[in-house]
Amino acid sequence: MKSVFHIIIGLFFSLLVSVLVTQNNINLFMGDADDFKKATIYFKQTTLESEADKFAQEKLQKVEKVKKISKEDAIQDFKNTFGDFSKNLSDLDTLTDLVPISYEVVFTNLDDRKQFIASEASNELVDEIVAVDQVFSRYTSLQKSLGAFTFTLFAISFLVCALLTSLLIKNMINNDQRQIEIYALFGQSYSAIVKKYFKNLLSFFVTTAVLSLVVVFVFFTIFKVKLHATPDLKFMAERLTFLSVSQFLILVLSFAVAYFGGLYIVLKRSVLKSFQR
Amino acid sequence: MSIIELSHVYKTYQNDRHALKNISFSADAGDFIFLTGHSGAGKSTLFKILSAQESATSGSVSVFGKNMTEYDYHNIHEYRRQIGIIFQDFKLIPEITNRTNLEIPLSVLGKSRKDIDAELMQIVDLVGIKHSYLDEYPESLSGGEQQKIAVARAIIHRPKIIFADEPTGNLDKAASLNILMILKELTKWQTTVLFATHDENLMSQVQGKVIHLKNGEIESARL
Repeated sequence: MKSVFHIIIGLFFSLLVSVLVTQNNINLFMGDADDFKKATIYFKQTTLESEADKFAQEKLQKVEKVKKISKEDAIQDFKNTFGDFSKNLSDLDTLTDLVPISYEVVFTNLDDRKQFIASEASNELVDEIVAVDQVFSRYTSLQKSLGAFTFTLFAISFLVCALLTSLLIKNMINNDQRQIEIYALFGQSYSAIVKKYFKNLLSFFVTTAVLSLVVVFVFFTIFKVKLHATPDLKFMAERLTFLSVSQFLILVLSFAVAYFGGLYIVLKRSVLKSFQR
Repeated sequence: MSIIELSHVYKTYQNDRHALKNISFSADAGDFIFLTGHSGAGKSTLFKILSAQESATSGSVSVFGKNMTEYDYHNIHEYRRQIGIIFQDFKLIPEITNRTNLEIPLSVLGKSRKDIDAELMQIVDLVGIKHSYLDEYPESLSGGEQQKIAVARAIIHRPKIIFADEPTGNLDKAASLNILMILKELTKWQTTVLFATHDENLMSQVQGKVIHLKNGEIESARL
């Protein structure tokens, strides 16, 4: 019975880890919602670097992220992209003249981005503001729905896990009822019995959490390697992410609260039977 | 001062069945008391009250000078560690070996492995349990052998009071007499023994007080 209990709890924990990993990577399959909040501001050739910086300082205060691409950075990118061909394409002076200063910006939301483009596209310093076409915006809502779906799936799995764990613990303790009763009759204290179960189940909990994580990680790695081997999907493999340390800790802590909360309630009710008269 | 004192104790179950009616008696340290009566006379109920498995409906039960109502789930273990119980149905744990069953009263006291082993071998030899039985499970033993394990477990921690509910019911005459003599011997060290039986031959073997129960009442007493 106990080994079945161990396997079931292990499977539940693996399921929770898997749902969280899916939630982490769902964007890969639907594109990144942040893409719709991004825009690149290209300044005119005539705009001086100091003017571009002043513009950025004044107009880009309430945004999530700003990255300046100087002429030098842009030339380096150009060279990296075209390799030896870049030598034939232009000399450095020509390139410096051609390549504009730009700022990559991530706005806090789509509305902010739209408003910024509407107000600043005609600024005399700005040549062009490029953003992902809004035709894709319908994917944003689909992506949000998928995110909400995986979150709901996680919440439901979590509740089911917590409930079933409590039931399994109850069943296990009921099986031990006679043993608890006899130990109690020979002077085992209530707190010692409760502590004994907590101690046993703590070591089991830690082992299960670590083993489940390892199992899911192995499957995740196999999946990633297979994806990497497929040329068209290589980029996806590179962006697949496992659980972060904080995510794993939050998962373990919340599962531990449900697990030990259930254990305490069940233990208190079952063990007290052997102490009440 | 009496070590056990019962005064006008009643025990009534939910169906209004009176298991005990107006029980009063006392026992001193080192007393050996036979509790007799037919099945259903109230012997087991009395043991359950004295061993804190059940509480009296009314009346007062004091053991070691403390009223039993003062014990609750937080401190009842303090009382139970001072008593030894031999159950009619043995109450051995089938999933653990006889050795581990025997060790229960010592392990709950937090004794060291060395002390447990020493005391275990002493009691095993005293009660007459074969050493080879120790690493077997209770169900592989006969009723008589299981009873010996139950007796040994009840006395291994040298309790101040022993409640023995039909401790010789499954034993032959020689083994019964042996258990009786062991329990009687313990009274020399001021252990109080309450011994439930309806075997009159056995009662004639040792001197002791006698309380005879009938329909939950004390019909006669030789104290």
